[in-house]
Amino acid sequence: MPEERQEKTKTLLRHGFRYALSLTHETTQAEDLLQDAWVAVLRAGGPQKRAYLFSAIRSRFLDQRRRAQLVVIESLEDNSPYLGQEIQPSNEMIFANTEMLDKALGILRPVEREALLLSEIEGYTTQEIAKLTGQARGTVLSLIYRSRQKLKKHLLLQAGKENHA
Amino acid sequence: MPKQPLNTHLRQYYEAKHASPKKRAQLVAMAEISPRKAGEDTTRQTKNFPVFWRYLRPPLTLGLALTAMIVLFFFQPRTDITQSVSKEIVLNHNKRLALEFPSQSYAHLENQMSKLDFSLIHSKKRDIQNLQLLGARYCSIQGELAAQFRLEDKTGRTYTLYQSPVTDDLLRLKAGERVQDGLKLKLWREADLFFGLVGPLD
Repeated sequence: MPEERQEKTKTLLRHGFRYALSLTHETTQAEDLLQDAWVAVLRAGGPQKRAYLFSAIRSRFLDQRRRAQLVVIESLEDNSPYLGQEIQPSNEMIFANTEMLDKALGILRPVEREALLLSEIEGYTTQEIAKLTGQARGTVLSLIYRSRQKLKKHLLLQAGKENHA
Repeated sequence: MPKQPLNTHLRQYYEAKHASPKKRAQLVAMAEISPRKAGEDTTRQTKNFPVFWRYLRPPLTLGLALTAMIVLFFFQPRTDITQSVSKEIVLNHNKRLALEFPSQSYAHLENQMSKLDFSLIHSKKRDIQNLQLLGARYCSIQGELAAQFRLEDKTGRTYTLYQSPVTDDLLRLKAGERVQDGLKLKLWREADLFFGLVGPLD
């Protein structure tokens, strides 16, 4: 395999791993999930593109959750107050360390972590997230907003506790 | 970590996360051995390959089937026709089926056995001359309509004589005497007919 192509594969897998991690919030599970999806992509001869890999990861994650009956379906109408807006990055300065972030992300639901990762790290637009996750755009906007709020709240609480200690 | 925007925290958090080096190497290796090369947009290939195969498959399959048939036709092991006919007429002899045309005259049988598309002849072989004709019936040898005569010697032992047109298969038959299933068997050609005589050993 030429070096350039190998680099592309590694980059793709790195993105895939982070996405899987956002869903599972557990390294070993994320690795397994990524491997399952990667095998499926290679077998199907599908395009080795980020969106395709993410989609494969997502469907396998949902399958696993369904089998374990862990999926909590939350209905969100597409009349979100955020509809028509694009979520802007928050400039609010927050104190956090890795351990705090790990805990805070752990309290979020997989779909919330997923929405956060896709919007904050992967740079997906809400429309792209909606397409990938099969959700309404308003639902995605709500998810991102709520997860940010939850995360900030938790981090501030954690920071307060650490200051008191 | 200093105070910074949430998305910066998240970016740093996720960028620090990696699959284990072993797993990464394993996944990269998978792509290497995969026929679809990493990084390539293989959509066109995957869409075209089945279409291409769909059109190519019928003529290819037909071609292969024809080749197989030709090979089988030319290289199939030829069955030993002499052995095959010997077994067949000995089996018919042992069945001792009832005579359809009891008669002691070949000329009479010639008239009666009208379904035959060849003329019966009275063989000049000495073996036959010494046997008494009892009658005849239709039979088949290698799928061809033939005549089967029942004969008897002076001691009352029965023989079966066969007459059949010489087909392409029977042309390859080796004339001669042999013993088959405890019976004496004689095969020969006479006046463009195939003859077979089955009887007890001397």
